[in-house]
Amino acid sequence: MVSGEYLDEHHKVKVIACAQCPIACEQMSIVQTGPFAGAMTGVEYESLQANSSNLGISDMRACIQLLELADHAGMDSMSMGVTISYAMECYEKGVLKKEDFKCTQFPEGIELNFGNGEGAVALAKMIRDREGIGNLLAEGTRIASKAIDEERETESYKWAMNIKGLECPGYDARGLKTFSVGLAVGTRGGCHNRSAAYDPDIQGEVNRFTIDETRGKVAADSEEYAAVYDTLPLCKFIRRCFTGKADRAGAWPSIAKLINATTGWHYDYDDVDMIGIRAHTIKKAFNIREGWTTEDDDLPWRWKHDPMTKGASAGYIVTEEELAYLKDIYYKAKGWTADGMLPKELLVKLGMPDVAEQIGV
Amino acid sequence: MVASTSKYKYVVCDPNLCIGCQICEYVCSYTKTGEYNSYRSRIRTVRADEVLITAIACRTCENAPCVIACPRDALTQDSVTGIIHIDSVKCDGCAWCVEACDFGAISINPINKLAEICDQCETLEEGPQCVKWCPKDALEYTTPDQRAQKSRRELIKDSIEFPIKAKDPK
Repeated sequence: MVSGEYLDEHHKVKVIACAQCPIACEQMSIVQTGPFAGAMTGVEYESLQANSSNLGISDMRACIQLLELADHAGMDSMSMGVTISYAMECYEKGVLKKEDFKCTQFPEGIELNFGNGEGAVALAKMIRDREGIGNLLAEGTRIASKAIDEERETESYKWAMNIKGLECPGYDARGLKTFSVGLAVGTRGGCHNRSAAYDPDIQGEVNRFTIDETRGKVAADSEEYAAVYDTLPLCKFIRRCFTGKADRAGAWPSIAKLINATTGWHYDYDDVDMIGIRAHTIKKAFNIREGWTTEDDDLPWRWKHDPMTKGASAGYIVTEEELAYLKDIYYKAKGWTADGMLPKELLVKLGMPDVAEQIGV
Repeated sequence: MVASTSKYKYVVCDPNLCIGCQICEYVCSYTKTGEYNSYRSRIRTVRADEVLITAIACRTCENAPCVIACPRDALTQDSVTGIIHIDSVKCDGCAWCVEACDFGAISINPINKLAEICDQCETLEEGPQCVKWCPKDALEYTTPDQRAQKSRRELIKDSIEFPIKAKDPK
C-alpha cells in the first residue's frame, strides 16, 4: 500500500519543521513490524515514488527502510531509487543475472524482480558499501549503463532514466511537454527543483499534451523563478504563497520587500528579476566552460521512443522533432544562440564580461 | 525526571505537538529586542532526537535555585507571580544561575554578557507572545491546576487500550 493516507495511518510518528516554518513538511515515519522494524526517516513525495511505486514495491516498510538507508549514508534517495529500478529492469530483461548481485547477505545473488523489497534493500546496501556490482551502480545510471552496455553488448541505456547523469524525478515528461524541455535543458540535468515547468503543465495553465511557441518562455521563466527562490533561499513549497500563482509579477514585489527588510538595501522588481537571470546564466556558463553542448540537452531514450502504455498520457512520447523545436524556442526565449551558447552581448548586458572571457566568447 | 515545584503560572510545551520550528524563539527575541535572533530568546527549543522535540522557558520554581545561587543577589522572585527578575546593575554575568537551573531556562545575553530569563511578557496585556504565535498550539500558559488536569487527561489516553481511541477531551 503506497499512499499518503496509508503512511499517515500506519507509519507516521510526527511532523517536524525547519527553523521558523509552520508547514512542517517532514513526515517522520517508523516501521513497527517485519524485517525492517525500527527504521525511521522523513518521507516525502519524490523519495517515496522513487523507492516504492517506481520499484513496484507496495510494502511501505521496505520503502521506509530504503529511505533511511539513503539518508544515513548521505545518498540522494531519488537517484538511488531510479538506479535500483534500472538494475531491476536489467534483471527482468536478462541483461543482469542473479549471480551479478552476489553479496555477503545473498552469496547466491538476488532475484531482483520489480516488487522485491528485500532485494532492493540488499542492493541499496551494496551501493552504499560499493560491494560487488554496487560499486558500479553507485556511479549512477549514466555511467553504469555505459559500462554494462560496453561489456555485454546490450542496450540498457534505453531504460537508464537520467539527463546529464542526474536521475529523473517523479514526473513522466512524455505527458508533460513543457516540462520535457525544462528537464532537457536543465543545467544540472533532470532536476525538478531547478526547472518547475511541470507546474504550468499539471496546473492546466497550458495544454500538457501539445506544444506551441509559448513553451520556451514558460520553461525559461520557471527556471529563473526557481533560481530566485534558491538564491535567497526560500522554500519551494511556498512558491505560490504571494498571489496563488508561481509567477514573477506576483512574487517579485513581495520578495523585494523581504530582501529590503532584511538587508536595508533598495531592491525593486527589476533587481529581483536580475537575480534569477544572472544566477541561471552563471550555471549555464559553468556547463559551457566544462564542455557541455546542446547535444547534452537531451531526454532519456525511453521518453523519446517508448510510448506510455497506461493512464491519461497513454500513447505519448516526446519526438526528436518536438524536442528540437522546444529547445529552439527555449534558446530564443533566453536570448541564446541557436546552438544553446551564451552570446557575448548578453553577458555584457548582464554585467558579466569576465564570464564571457572565461568561456571564450 | 526533573520536575518543577511551582505554584505559579508558566509556559509549558507539549512535546507531542511541538514540531521544532523555533517560531517561539524568534517571536520572543523580536518582542524583547526587536531583532530575530534565537540567541536572544528566553524560550529555547531543543531537539534531543529526530522526533523528540520540545521548547523550554522558565518554570518559576519555588525557592528558585537560580535566586539562591546568585552570589550578588541580582535575582529576585516576585512573590505573587513567581517571575524571576534580574537586576542588570547587580548582575555581572557569572552564570551561576545558568548552572543552577535544572531546565536550562536562563541564558547569557551575547551582547552585554548578562543573564536573561523569561518574564512571561508581564508588561503585555496579551501575555506570553510565544504562546500566542505557536502555529501548532504546543505552548500553553498554565496554572498548576491546568497542568494537573492535563496530566489527568493524558492518563486516560494511556489507560484506554486499542481499539477504543480516546477522543481529545477539551
